[in-house]
Amino acid sequence: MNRDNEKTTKSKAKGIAPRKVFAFGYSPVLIEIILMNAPKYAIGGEIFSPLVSTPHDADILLVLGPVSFKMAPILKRVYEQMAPPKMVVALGTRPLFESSNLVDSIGDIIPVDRYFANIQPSPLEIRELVDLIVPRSSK
Amino acid sequence: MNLQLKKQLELKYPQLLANNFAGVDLCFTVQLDNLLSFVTKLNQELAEPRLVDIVAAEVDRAQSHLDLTYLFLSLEHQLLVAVQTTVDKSDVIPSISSIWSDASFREHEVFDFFKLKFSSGVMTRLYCHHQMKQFPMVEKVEPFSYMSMSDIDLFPKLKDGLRPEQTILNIGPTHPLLNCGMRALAKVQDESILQLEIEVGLQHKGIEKSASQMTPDRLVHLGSFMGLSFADSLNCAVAMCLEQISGLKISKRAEVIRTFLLELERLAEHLDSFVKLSVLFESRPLMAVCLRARDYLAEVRAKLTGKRMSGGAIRLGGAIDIFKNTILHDLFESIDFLLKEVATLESLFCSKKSWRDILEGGEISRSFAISKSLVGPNLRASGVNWDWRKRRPYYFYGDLKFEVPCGVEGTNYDRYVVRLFEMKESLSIMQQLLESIPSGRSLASHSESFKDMKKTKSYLRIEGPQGELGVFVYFNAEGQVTRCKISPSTISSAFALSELAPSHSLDAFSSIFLSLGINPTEMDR
Repeated sequence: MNRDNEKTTKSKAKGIAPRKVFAFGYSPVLIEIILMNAPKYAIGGEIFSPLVSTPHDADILLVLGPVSFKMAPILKRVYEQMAPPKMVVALGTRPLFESSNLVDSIGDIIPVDRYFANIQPSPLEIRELVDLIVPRSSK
Repeated sequence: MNLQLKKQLELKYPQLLANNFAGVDLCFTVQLDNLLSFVTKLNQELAEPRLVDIVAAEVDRAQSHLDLTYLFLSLEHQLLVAVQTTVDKSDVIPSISSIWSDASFREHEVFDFFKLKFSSGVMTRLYCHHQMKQFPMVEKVEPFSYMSMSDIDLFPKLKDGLRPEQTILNIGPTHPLLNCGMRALAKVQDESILQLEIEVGLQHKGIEKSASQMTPDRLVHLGSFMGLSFADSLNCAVAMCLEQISGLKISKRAEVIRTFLLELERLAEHLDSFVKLSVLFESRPLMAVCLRARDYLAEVRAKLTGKRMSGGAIRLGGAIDIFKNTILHDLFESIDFLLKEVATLESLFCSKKSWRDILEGGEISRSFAISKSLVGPNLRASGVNWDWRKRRPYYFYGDLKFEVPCGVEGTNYDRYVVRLFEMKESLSIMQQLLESIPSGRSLASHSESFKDMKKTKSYLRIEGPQGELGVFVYFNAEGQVTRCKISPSTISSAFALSELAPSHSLDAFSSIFLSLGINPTEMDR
């Protein structure tokens, strides 16, 4: 994790600001992220504003699925547009087959905080992943 | 199928007939010099057929010859006709884009992978990065690190005659609506779009190159490797294509399981399109109903196959027995629940005039839809009653009772209504399937089925959630896969968008894009 992030995670946890996510990469997981706002998964009435439309508003960048060479410079630009502290979670970014057009590890492009192999997480699993990075506030 | 015309064509060109292609009605082999004249004649005889795809393949790694196949589908006569020719790598191939306007991007695709030049003009890259020097299907690709984004200069047409009051607007690819898969560049004046260019290939995974060296066993999981939202449909199409050429037969129980999975996927994909619509227009009631139904459906799929979105239950020679450990009574209840949800969705969507007003525009006429080779719900919304499940029934679709909903005007609203009614039909199909599940095994052994095959090429298409989804598989004499090509269903809609969006306002772009159901992951492969 970045040193910059370590300082701010504690204050993030105490703050009431919602943890905003910018999702990068086409995947059916996008709809699962929208689902996290449904009453079924929004446990304890905590606000989890799932998707924001600009990287500047986001706290967490979720990279879903493998990144192609054409997409790599765009991913870098999106990361640069985010305001610090920047947190990056990579979900299933390693290609499942030998490919001539996919980035092997997105760690070469941007710093990544956590990697996860699962490309099809359920809403509860995504929630747990985000909790690992920004802990929920203990009142 | 028009048998009379088929016989007529067979008698007319007896010396050109070939029988190495499984899954097509007629196959002709022509010399490269006669290609354009033959295809022009065929165009008249088949009453303006639709170009399904252009496929290039390496015959032999050592030789410099390439095999080039054009596939045509006549909607009027219901005939699938393939025209194959052998070309040298240095040949310039006559372009057919003067006859079929949508042939242009398919020719660029062949150039992009095989370095084959066509006579239509300057060839540019389509899927691969514009700075890439190698051609992936015929040359070894060296590892590289390109960090430059493609520029507006790559679309010279946009800059032609640009006036001071006009601007070039970049839409995507990280625009939430486009889902990080497609980029559109629009020439805009005030609020209206004058010209639109589309950049594809941002999700290009190069899976066809990898698939060309896979064993048939591994090839069946192609959709899952791609992380596709309708992986089961692609997996099923590949499995059917391989079974067709090898003559492998699957049990009745496996057929029911596959049909059930396909319909589940169609339902999920159409629900997804309504979720996106409700998110775009911030419609809370619609969002609540859609999300509840989709979550419920994901849990049903998780119970059956273990995955919430794309399943992995389809195997070569059958499928995993998903009904083995499930209580059928529960499944009937789930379908009843989903039927109620879809009824609520219908009452919300169809009865209110507001949705009709919001989604007006984006008209696609019948002739435009056919000429741009649109498929599936987009084609049916324009009033063309074309569904592969009815035209060439596979599995149980011949015996099942279901209807094919069709639109009239082809507006955005029509496309959504067609999808809505397809969901209802899917649920009724699932009910009918559950009523009569045959007993027996669901997986057949397929050892030694890929030896001594008479044919070397195979094509198969199914009616996927977004329309016709085709797969080409080529074999060599030893029974190994040499080429696997996916003919995606949504790419034609993406290129039709560039002609559809001009004359509309910027506001309408989003609703037209969503209603066409473009899926970048599938489109780019």
